Formats: sequence, structure tokens, C-alpha cells
Amino acid sequence: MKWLEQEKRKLEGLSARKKREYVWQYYKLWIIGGVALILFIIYFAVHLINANRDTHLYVGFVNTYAQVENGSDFWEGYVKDAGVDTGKVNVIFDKEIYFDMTQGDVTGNHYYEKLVVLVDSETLDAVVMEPDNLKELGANGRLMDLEDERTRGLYEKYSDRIITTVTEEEDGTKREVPVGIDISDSILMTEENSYVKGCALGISSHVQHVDAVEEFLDYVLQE
Amino acid sequence: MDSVRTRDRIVRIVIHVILIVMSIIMIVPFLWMALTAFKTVQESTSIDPFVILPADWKFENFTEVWKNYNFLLLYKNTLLMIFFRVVCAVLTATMAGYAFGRLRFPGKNFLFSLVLIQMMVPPQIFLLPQYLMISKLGMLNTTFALVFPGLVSAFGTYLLKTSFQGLPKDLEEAAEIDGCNIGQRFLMIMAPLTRSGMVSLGIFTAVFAFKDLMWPMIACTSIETTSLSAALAKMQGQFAANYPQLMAAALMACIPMIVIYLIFQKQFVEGIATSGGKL
Amino acid sequence: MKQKVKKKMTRAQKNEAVWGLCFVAPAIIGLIILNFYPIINTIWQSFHKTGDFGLGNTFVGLANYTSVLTSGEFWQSLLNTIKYAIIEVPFSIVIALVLAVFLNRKMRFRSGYRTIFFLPMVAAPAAVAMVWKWLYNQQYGLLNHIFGTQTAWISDPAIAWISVAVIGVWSIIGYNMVLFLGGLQEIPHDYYEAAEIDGATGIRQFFNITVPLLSPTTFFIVQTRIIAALQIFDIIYMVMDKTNVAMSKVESLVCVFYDYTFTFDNKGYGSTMVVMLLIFIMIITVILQRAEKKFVFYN
Repeated sequence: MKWLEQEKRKLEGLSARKKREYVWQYYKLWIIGGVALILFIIYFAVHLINANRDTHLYVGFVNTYAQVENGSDFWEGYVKDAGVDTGKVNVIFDKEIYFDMTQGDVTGNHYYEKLVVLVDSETLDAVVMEPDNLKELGANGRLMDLEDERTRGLYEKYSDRIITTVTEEEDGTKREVPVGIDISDSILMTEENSYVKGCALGISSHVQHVDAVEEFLDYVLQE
Repeated sequence: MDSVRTRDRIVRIVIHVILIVMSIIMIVPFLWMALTAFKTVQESTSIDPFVILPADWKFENFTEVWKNYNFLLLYKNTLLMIFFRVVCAVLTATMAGYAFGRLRFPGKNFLFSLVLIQMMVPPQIFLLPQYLMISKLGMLNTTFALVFPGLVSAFGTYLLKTSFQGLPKDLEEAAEIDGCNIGQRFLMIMAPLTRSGMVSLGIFTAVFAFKDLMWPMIACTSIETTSLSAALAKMQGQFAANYPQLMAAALMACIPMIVIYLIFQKQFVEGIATSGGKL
Repeated sequence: MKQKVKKKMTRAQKNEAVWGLCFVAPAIIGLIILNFYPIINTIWQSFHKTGDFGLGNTFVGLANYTSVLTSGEFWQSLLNTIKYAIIEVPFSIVIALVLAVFLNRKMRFRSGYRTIFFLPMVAAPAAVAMVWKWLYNQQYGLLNHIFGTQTAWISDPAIAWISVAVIGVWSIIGYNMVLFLGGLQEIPHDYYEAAEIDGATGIRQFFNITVPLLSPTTFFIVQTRIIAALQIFDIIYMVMDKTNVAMSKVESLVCVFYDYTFTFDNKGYGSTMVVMLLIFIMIITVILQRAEKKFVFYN
């Protein structure tokens, strides 16, 4: 460590203030960078220990301005009904999604991209949106075919509310697929006034918590 | 002598004319943003596009936006994100750039090809896997989540490699004879000389962090933890029709960026004094 | 063989290798976690067909590749992408170089100019899109007013790709300029002083000193700009609607990839596009790296 000795020798004769100035002058970038990095690592470690909770349910609400997000009365109602301990697991109601596929192309709509990422990353469980909008979304195959064995129970339970979409198979034939459950008479409409022209619920094709979705349906369709 | 002087003056004037014309072309969208921010909604959507100036300068758009959104918090989140991304990217890229540009080690070409390949794929494909990682870590809605995709920079590594390659050999050889090891040579001699490369990287990292929209939108959904650009997009969702307020917010959002740029670009000028003279 | 080579390494070489690997480690580990896992995942996807409505992926081998390579859409979008790059890369680089050389000398308002040229980089994308759409508007647009024409700048298939590339040039000039300014800083002043004494004019200095000594920076910009231009996406969707008749003549490869991945749920097919783009860019990069040895001057 020849260099360290050299630096020490340089600092020897200087006053404390001069020493500080010298070090700062030559090493300021390294000091700032080093301190920032250490703080960052500590911060990361602390967060890592405290965080890491499982999700009980993740529902996306598209195109609504009503108060249905986390912390709202609507959210607390669900948490109470389902008997979830939100200290241990997360219940996420996300309403930061705005797009309308009935109005044409959504290329470049970041909210739409967000929904796609949430679905494909197996994060989102269900989505609530206008029935027509839901049909368009469903046509692309990102919503669960409700006749699938995972959601068959719901399909039978709500058979009078099913919304279907039309999808084109590879050979050109068209097929009707049940992708949504109409919940226009739910408390979302009657109490929260969150949608004007009715709303429907679709289940993500990568759904992880079907039971929680069922609880959610029970909750919003209560008398 | 006189003819040389007049020629110099003519050249100078021509350069200024070119620069002014270019300036006008570059500044138009920015001016448009600024003017729209002072208009009423009706004026901003007027069919006649030659209604350029607002009839009545409305400062309410700014106060309205400032009241509705916690801009101070957004500034804080964004600046923290930019700061950490710049520190991490510049640090890792400078180290790797030095090794790629100056040192010989096994697997160098292969590892450098990894750096190049990263730049060759559209960034959209990183979105989903990175989201999964951050969500598995349980770090959604944190500052770390904002910084996460910018921890390293392939572009920066390549940029700094180019900077290091451009430096003359004799400087390092002299230090080697003095008994400096590679770490000291890097720290004391080579890294300070690539200052302008680091500054360029700092500017770009800051700009791209600032403009990054998709990532903060999905990784930090709550308004308390998200960045300015994602908050702006949120406003766009809520007041799609209110262009003036949107532009007022966008204008307020990019002011810190301009300040950051001015600070960085002063470093360019200082760079001449420190590195240029010695060579 | 390898064992022998390793044994032959002297202590100094070993030392250098250890330092080198340590120095690249943080960046490379970060890249592998953040970027290479996604890239490998994409390649894996390209061999699968994505299942709709909750069905899983099915392995289809090279089927995606054959259907991509036989589709007209792929070749058309590749052609569009190349056409875009051919305009964007040279123009943005030449203009930025000239501006950077001007702004590297002592002059009035230098800082002001530098800041103005940087502004497009921080302007809100919405504002950029609005302004350009207005400039290009067929009825009210400023361009048609100035030229007294009725040109449909962004919906005439013959010229729409040029109009889009012009926006690309405009928005990237400031970016290239910052890089050039950085590169110019590293050219020692004494070269210019010596040239001044010899009586070389500004233009001669530019070609004899600036251009060769700046060549590493220029090469870097050329390489990164080509790569980035071949990934063009946001400008196109910002100014062009899906219903635009010129869309098929402008749509880039990444636009098509985006459509398949996000709009239609066909990630396998989209991923194949990305892999093809990757291969294409790699070929160009190898050619450029060969050229580097010929044209670039290193100290």
C-alpha cells in the first residue's frame, strides 16, 4: 500500500481543516458514491426483512373514479367480510387503470400495458370494468374461459350472469367463450356509483386466488 | 490583418444564425407546452391552430395542479430515483468500462458481447420479469423498486469503455513504474480523466430515469411512492381533456431536469481545466 | 490446451486478470439478473405457442420461426425499420456533430444554446406529439401553410416514413450533441494551438484534427444509434393512429412485436420477432466491429 503511505505523508503536516479540504477535493466523488451505495444497501436490507407478504387478492378496477382503492370503505368492507388479516397478507384494490377498448386501438396506452403485465405476471386475480370493454379485452385471450375447471364452480353459480365474447380460432372459425360475470346490480353500482353503464367481472387467465375472487363476488353481490 | 478580422466576424455571425435557427426548431414543443399551460381548456382545443397566445394568462392551472398533487413528495421520489440510478450506473459502468477498455482478462470478449446484446433487444421484454422479481422480493411501492431496473447500465459500460480507450497509454505506464497497483491507477489517474464520459452518462441516466414511465407505473402504484412521470400519466387518465393543467404539470415536472442538466454541463466546462491541460 | 495457456500467465498477467474480472463483476452480475434472464425467457417463449383463456404454453419447435419468416408483415416491417434508420442515423449524427463543434468554442450564449438543444429530451411526450401532429396537419398544419401545399405528411404512404424519421432526427440531436461535447472535451487543446500557428483554417482543423481524434466517440454514437434506431417504436405510435392508411408502410418491427405481445395475447410469436431482430442487429454489429479497426483512431 505505497499509495496510502504517500497520502498519509501528504496529510501529516496539515491542519485539520486543510486535511478535510484535501480529502474532499480529491475524493469527493468517491465519498459521495460510497456513502450513497452503503445507505442504499442498508435500506434494501431493512426493507427486505420487513416486506415480503403474500397477496390474498388483487382486483383491478378499470375506468372508475369512485373510492374503491385500498383504505376505502369499500375495501374495508371486503376485508371484514372475508375475515382477512391485512397485517399478514395483502388485499389490493387497484383503480389506476384507464383504457377503453371499444374506442379503438390501445397501442401505447400505458394503463393497458400495466394490466397486461399484471395478468401475465400472475399478480392480478380479477378485473372489474364495463361489460363492452370487458368483451373486447376477453377476445384477446387474457381472461379465463369460465368453463375451465378452475372456475367452473363460479360459472355454474352465476350461470344467469355470464357474458361471452367471440374469438377467432386459428382455422378461422369463431367460438363463443364465457369470460365475464355481470355484476351491474352489485354494491359497486348501487352504493359506490363507480360505473354508469353497468359493470362486469372477468377473471385473469393466470388467476392465483379463485376462492378469494368468490368471496369478492359474494361481497359485492350482497343484498 | 483587417480582412482576417472581418472574415472571423462573418463566420461568427453565420454560426450564430445557424444556431438560432436550430434553437427555434428545437424549442417549439417546449414553447407550446408553456403557452398551453396558461390557456383555458377551450383555447387549448381550439380548432384554429393559429390561436397561439392565450388571451388571458391563467396561472390558476399551476396552482390548481400544485394543490391537487403532492409535488414536493413527487420531486423527492424522482430525485432519489435519479440520484441512486446515476450513482449505481456510473459506478458500475466506470469500473467495467475501465476493465473492458484497458485490462486483459479471460472471457473479456464474451462478457463484452453480453453488454452489447443487452442493448439489442427492445426494452419492453424486461418489464414482466423485472416486475416479477421486485414483487417476489416484496419491494413493490418502494424507492428501491424505482431504482431497480437502473442499477447497471450496458449503454454506460460501453460509453465508458470508449472513453477509457481514448486515453493515452503513457500516463498509466508512468504510474505503474511509480508502483501503483491497478486499483490505484484506476482510482487516482484513469477515472478522473474520463470525467466527461461520466458526466454524459450521468445526464442520460437522469433523463431516462425521469422519462421512464412504464416501470414506475406498475412497480409503484401508490401516488406516495411513484415518480413524476407516472404521476403525470395518472393525471392524464383523470383529466384527459384538461390539456392546460396537464401541460402545467409537465412543465413543473421538467424544471428539476433542466437544473440537473445545467449542473452536469458545468462539469463539462470544468473538465477542460482538469484533463485538457495535462495531456 | 487451456490449462497450458493458464500456466503460462505471468504473475502480472494473473494480477491483471483478477482485477479485470472484479471490475466487470458488478455490472455483469447486474446485467445477468436484470436483463439476461428476461432475454433467455424470451428465447424460450419463441419456441412455444401461447395458450389463450388460461391454457398453458405448448411447445411448437420452430413453427413460430417459419410463420414469421414466411409472413409478409415481418419483411415489410423490417424494411420499414431499415428505411427509418437510414434517415435517422446519418442526419442526426452529422447535425449534432456540427452543433457540438460550434458549441465547443468560446462564444456568447454557449450555455443557453446547449440548454435549448437539450430541451426536446425533457419535453413531455404528449407535447412533442401534439406539436408534430399540428405541424404535419393537412388542413391547418404549419408546414402546408409555409409551402402552400396540401400534402398529407403522415398519411401518405409514400412520404409518411420520412416524416416520422424527421421527428426521430429532431428528438435525438440533443442526445448525440451531449455525447459529442463529451468527446470533444477529451481532445487536447495543444493540437489546435499547433494548427493555429501553422495557419490552418477552421474547416481544415475540423477535418484534420477533430474528425480523426473524435472517431472513437463517433463510432460509439454510430453503433448505439443504429441499434436504437432499429428498435424505433414510441415515435411511431405517438404520431400515427392505428387507422392511418400509411401505417403498414411505417410500422417498425418493434411495433409489430408490441402488437402481438400486448394487444393480442401471442407472446410466442412476438418473442420470435424479438429474436429475429436480435439476430439482425447482431449481424450489423459484427460488420461494424470489423469496420472499427479500419476507421477508428485510438491513441
